[in-house]
Amino acid sequence: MSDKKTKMLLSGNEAIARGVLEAGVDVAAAYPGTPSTEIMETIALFGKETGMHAEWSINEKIAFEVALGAAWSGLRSFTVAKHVGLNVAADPFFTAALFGGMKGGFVMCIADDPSFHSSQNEQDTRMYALAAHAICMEPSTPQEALDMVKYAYDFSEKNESMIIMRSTTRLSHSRGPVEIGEIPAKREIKGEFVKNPEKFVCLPSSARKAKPLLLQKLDEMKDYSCKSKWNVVTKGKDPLLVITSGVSYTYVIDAIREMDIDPTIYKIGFSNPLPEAKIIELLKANPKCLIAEEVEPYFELLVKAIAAENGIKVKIFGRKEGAIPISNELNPLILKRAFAKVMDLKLDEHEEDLPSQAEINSQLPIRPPELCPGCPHRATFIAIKKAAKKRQIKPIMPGDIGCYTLGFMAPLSSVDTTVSMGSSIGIANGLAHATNQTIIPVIGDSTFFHTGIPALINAIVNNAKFVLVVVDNQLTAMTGGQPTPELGITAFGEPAGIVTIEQVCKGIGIKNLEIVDPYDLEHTIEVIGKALDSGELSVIISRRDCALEYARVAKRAKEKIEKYFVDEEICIGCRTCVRTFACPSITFDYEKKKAHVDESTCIGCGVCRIICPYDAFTKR
Amino acid sequence: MTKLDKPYQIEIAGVGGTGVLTAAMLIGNSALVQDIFVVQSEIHGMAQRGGVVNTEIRFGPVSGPLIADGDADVLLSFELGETARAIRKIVPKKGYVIMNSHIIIPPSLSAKKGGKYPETEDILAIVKKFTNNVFLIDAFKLASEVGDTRTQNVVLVGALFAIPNFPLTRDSLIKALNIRFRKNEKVVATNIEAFDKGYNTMKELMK
Repeated sequence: MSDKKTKMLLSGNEAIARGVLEAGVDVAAAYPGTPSTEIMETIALFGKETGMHAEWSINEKIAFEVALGAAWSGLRSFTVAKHVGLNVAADPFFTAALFGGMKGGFVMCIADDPSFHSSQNEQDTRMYALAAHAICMEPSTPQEALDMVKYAYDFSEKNESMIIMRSTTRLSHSRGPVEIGEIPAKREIKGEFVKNPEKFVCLPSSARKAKPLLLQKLDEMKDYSCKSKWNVVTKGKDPLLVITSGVSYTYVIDAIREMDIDPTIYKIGFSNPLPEAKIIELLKANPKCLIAEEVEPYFELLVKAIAAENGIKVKIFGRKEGAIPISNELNPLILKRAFAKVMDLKLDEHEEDLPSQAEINSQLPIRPPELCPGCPHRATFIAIKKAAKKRQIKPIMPGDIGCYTLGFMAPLSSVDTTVSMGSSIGIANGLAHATNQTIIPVIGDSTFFHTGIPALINAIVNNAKFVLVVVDNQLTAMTGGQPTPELGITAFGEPAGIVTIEQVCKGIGIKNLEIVDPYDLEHTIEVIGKALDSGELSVIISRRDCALEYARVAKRAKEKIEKYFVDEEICIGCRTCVRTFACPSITFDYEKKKAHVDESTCIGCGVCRIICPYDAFTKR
Repeated sequence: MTKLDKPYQIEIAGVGGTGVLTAAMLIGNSALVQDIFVVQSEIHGMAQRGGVVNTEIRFGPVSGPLIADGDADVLLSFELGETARAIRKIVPKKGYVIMNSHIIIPPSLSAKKGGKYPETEDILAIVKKFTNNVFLIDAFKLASEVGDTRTQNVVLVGALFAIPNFPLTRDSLIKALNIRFRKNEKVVATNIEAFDKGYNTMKELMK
């Protein structure tokens, strides 16, 4: 091994994965979710060579339990999810935190999504840590993420406790230079579960004993937290203390460099338990304290409580107080403004005679995310709309989490609710009993397996009537194409058992079950129509490969895709295609009054041919 | 390590699927090759489906991954209209703007009756309120001349490297291309050609 370490430009997610691999983790399990997905993807890419087991689990709860089982068998284990994924795993999480007993290190990485970049809410995992009395750590940079993960395994084993590694979007999806270490050589996994009912059978009697022990352990850990190398004080000359963590720390450093100020900075790597004695000492030495953190005012509430309990007269600023906005992620400008307010400085903001963002945006077309050219979901939505229109019904369409959530946008306007994974069918149950309206929940294949199945069983046993459409594109598309149970492929790309949606539906006793190809639009409309007419609980599987994946496969196979173009002789400029179908490959030329296909993006699905009342779309 | 006295910051703006993230990786890895400290941010997930994509790259004495409004030395834009949307990032008066004349029409615009994409002059008018160092490049055309329109992003990276006092070199970019395309000689050669097209076009424009 040479002295000069290899440096790579890694994202926070890649660095966390590298840390997991270098720590010699034997079992890793996850369900994908932005901004966490690349962690498991990277582990899956390199893990096979280590002899470890890595899997895409059916949902986050199962992933958590897979890792827990391995940790209780003495193996280093890992699970990762996005913030809302922890909601799904919350049940085992709380109890595992209480009982501990991880002989093998157990790290759970949760990636929060401040500013809701790809999420339905903005929850703060540190609040979970506090509620469950779980140890929580927060890295600030990709390098620190790698180092902290490795450290966390030793710490977890020493305390037989699980560790939460909290990331946020701007750490997970930022890149920086990272010095990497060695990945242990290939090994055989050999865990052993040693029976210990007191520890692993989590009953009221044992829980009553476990809780005081856990609280005592965390209390003792506060001292350790004060001395930990992950909680770092940088002394400054200005009479201000900054308490910060995670990526917020990097914005603090940028802001103080630019403003040429010199506060004392306490960078916290251990968010739970907090280094209380050290915080007391620092609060006493400073008349003011600014807290820079992402999502909830977690430190702020706790530090205010510490100050109050200890009678320390310090003015504390932060998200709750208002020096920093209460919602959305931080950035260097927010920090500069906060420093200016707290330190009574004048901030040299740029000339504001320049157009504002709102003024600029008003002159530009909006550009929301959208379904891809050739996306089979678009065809399915069109089919549902056409079938309903023919019957003069306005169905209520509870939607779910996936690319097809984008069906809410005009002109499809086909999603009426989106809450959480699997909730399309759950809410459909409620709507079916509450109203006389026609209910058509739409759920993706991966989401159906994730949490959709129990809600469908619930409909059968409670006589809820609706037409469930499963948009089955044969992979988990939104997060980049992870395998679903229908593919029979493991995270390592090895063959595995297969479970299909129709098997499940038949097994639980769905009588009205049809499988359609959404590109065959006429047939799909007919089948959906029949299901609507029946008034019975029905399931329609609308099955067609993800367009992105189809294009990728065709490219790899050097297959030529037959594209469509507009025959301008036939096109009368009625705009039906752009008004109702909105494929990104189709634009409308107002000078020529003709539709136009961008052949560089068309994947030749041919649905436009059926949409057009005049048959103006033709193959080359 | 090559020391930069002050931060050098590049904002890249574009649309999902146009090679923004790849371009950012190439630039970041070039910095790594030259041992210049670099941090960069990228947004994945929902935004990738034809939505607005922004990537920020920061070199030198910097810490966090984000560029504040008014701080970017360069705005490199992969789509005409998106240049205007990201222009507030630029250092007023001094910043450089390299903008692709290629447009991508969002379907929501086509769906709107009479929906028309803004004229190039109108976009330029907004951009020029911020700086006069504005360079319009038809990267799509240059990339087709190379024989692969997917190299649009590398054409624009080439133009970026032609900016006076730009801290990264062609050599390190070629190394980055080899990392990215795993030494696939043909792909690397096509991309070098695209890079040089962009570089030379920018040099001509600056004359």
